[in-house]
Amino acid sequence: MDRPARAVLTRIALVIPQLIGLTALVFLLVRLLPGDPVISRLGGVAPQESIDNLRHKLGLDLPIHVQYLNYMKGLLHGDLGDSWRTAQPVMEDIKMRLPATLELLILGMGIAVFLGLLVGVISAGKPGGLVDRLTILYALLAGSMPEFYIGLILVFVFYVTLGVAPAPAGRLGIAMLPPPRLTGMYLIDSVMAGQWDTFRDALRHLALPVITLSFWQAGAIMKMTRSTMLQIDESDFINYARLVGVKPSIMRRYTLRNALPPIISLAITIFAILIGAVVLIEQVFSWGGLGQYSVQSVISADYEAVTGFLMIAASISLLLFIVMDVLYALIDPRVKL
Amino acid sequence: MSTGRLAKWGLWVLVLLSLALASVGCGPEKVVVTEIVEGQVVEKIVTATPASEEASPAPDTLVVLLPATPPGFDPDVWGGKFWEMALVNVYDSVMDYEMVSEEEIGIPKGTGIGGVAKVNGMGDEGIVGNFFESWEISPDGQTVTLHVRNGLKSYWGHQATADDWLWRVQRAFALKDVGQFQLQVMGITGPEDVKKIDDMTIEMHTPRGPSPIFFKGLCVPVLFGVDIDEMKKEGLLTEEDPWGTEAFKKGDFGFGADHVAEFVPGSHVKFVANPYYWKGEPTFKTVIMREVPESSNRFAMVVNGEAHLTEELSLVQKNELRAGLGEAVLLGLPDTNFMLNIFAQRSTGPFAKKECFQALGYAVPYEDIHRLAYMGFGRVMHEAIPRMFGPNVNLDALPYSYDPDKAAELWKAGNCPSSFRLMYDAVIPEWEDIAILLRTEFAKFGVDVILDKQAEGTVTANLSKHDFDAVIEWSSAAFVADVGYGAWLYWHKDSFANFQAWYDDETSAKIDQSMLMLPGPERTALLHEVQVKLLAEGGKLPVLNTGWQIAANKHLHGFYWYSTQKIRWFDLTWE
Repeated sequence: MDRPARAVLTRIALVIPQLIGLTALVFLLVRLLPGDPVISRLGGVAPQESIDNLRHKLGLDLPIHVQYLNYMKGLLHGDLGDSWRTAQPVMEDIKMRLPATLELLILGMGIAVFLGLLVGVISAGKPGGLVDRLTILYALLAGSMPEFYIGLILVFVFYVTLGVAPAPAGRLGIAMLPPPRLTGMYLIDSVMAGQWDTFRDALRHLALPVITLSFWQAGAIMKMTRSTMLQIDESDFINYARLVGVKPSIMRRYTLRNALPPIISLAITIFAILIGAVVLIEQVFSWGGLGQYSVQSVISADYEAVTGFLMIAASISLLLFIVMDVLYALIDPRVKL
Repeated sequence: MSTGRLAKWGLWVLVLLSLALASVGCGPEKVVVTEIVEGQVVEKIVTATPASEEASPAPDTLVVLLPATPPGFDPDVWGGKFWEMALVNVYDSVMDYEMVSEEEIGIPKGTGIGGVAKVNGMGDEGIVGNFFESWEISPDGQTVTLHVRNGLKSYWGHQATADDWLWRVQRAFALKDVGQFQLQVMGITGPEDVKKIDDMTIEMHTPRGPSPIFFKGLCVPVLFGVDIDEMKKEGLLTEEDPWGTEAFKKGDFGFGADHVAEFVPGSHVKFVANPYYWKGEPTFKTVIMREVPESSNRFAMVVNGEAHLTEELSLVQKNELRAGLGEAVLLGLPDTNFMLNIFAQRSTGPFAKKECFQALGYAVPYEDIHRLAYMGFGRVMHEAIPRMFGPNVNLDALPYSYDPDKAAELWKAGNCPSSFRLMYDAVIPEWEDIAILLRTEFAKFGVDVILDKQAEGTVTANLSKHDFDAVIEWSSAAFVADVGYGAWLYWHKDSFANFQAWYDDETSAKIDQSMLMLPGPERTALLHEVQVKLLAEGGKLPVLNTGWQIAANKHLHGFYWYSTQKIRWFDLTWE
């Protein structure tokens, strides 16, 4: 069997035990959350009869292992249970909200990677220069501030004080209609429908959350790009290329190409982490994505919704790490799977 | 490619991207507006009018911002305060209180409030009909004949009938939730107590005896008539789902002023005006209730004028609005039926002894809490049930005032322990201030107050399980504005809301007795007597009446206070 096929199959074989472990962990962790979901749902002044009825209806009076088995049975049929907060199946909620989160993440990460690579390369080109010093300072600042804080500052400056940004109340203006749904990502859907006003409005609303996300992440990518480029710049093969008179531009290309694997790993790792980290950005901007859904679900002790979100987020992260492992193995023949 | 060329290309891309982003802010925005044309609600897309224009006409759409959207519109499935806010607008309550001045119910004047519900009446005094326009009461007070309002129509134009109410009562008892509870509180023991006399007449009977809170119970917006004609027409009542629970998750079938036109859970609810509403046409044909979890964002949007109304702001934010800010003003009442309390668990633990609870009553620095923690909002409370509930409130029943020496003396005399846990909700910053003030007071006589900060869900669960020593928590003095009912709810030995686990047979018997008496001097005397005991030993210590504050656009008028503190959008006008 050739190396790429072996790489993929080996990794996929590990997915099933990983997923089983994941479901058990997520299921138990959610049930360890403080609070009683039945009382949270009914309010503190519900009669005992109502509390007992609902507990029975939700199966929460069963032993924990029976509850887990019932959950797994549902999961195999794609049933993540019902959210009491939205009164909808959790799977429907996730399908509706996932595109909003992905749109934000893809744009944010895209800009972060682009900026990080660009500035990292320029910075590594002249270590100690002005750009390099500013890059280090920026990376320090970006890494030391929590993302939601950056978001709140941007809202305060650009919306409250300067009045140039739209209100942080979702993906479109309050009275604007969303485009016909194809992907759930408003930029794509509005273009496909030819609704340029909606496209512009969606882009306006994306600006601040995307800047928040990319500002926060670009710093790490910049630092990694810079340090990896500098490291490879001192490697033997680059020194040899320099000695034999290879043009600097070609040398830069070789350097960057060799620096890419750790940068790609970092970017994918960041993307996987962001699925969870984006929750607070969505909360600040009332984004209506999975992140906001998860926060509201935790606050309301909505077990099914919290479990559903964790399952999906963890599964996406798992998938991304698998892709990363496979890519790494394919790029670098020294890596064994 | 050289580094320099790469950098140049990169910079050009950045410049173009920035220009693109900046340019999308230009040009007029298109919005959707709603009009009522020949009794039908129609929508059209027009160019938006900037919010900043002075002296602008009333916007077509009222924008209301809340931390969360409701979980549905089922009147028989409790869904929290935002559910209540949606329900009062799509269903109307069956009856309402007459709107009177603050003076008439014995409270100070509010700010920007057009009137308050006459909650201090007895029996059906001060009650006006909505779903039922008139009624007759039998001489023994146990049977009420109610007449459905002629001209009361749903969004689809169906006239309300007795069947709409009867079905609703049957549904409440079938689902055994909020609706059943409310009916039972009013003295209706089962669906057999409600009869249809003819298409427009209903008879309701309270078999255990006359209920002094029958009419006030109908003012609580959880019992509503439902347009079952429309539900049947749409095939929403099936064998698998005879009560239409799935339908109510997504929309309403009410006779109220508004109708749910669009519901995206976690995002927004769009309401449109009921073109057949019996009170007439509203100022706002469309209302959008939008989920904006961050209070700082809600605050900013109301100040900017992009939203018109919001609640659930922090005290600091409310304080900033006191003198007005931007387009926003702070409206409200200093005195309502929402109270801040300290519950002390009376069955086990440090406060099981009466002396220890009484010491707590004297240790609380009431004025400091009002001034420092609550920034002067509301007022210090001196009664068990808010005074606005009328002559049945005993204004002299509270034995406590701030007296640290007496607190120390009682604590020692009771041989009370050297420490106790004080639980409070982590999300409410002023409650931490209160906890710290209490800790300071108790430290003066050597008692360690352990601050137990918990998530809201944990506080609620622990309250229900009586798993606490003392807890800071707010409560409403019951939406049914009756002292006897309030006493039953929070102090009766069989009540699920008796969080402090105080089980006193004699007092409970007196409360039961009061709930089967018609209003009058005898009932008043009994309730006055009960309140003395409640405050002396009952485990629920009133601290503040927190009042009611809402942030609204300065052009909005027509705010009225109802006992649930939920705003009716139909009332609102724009000037």
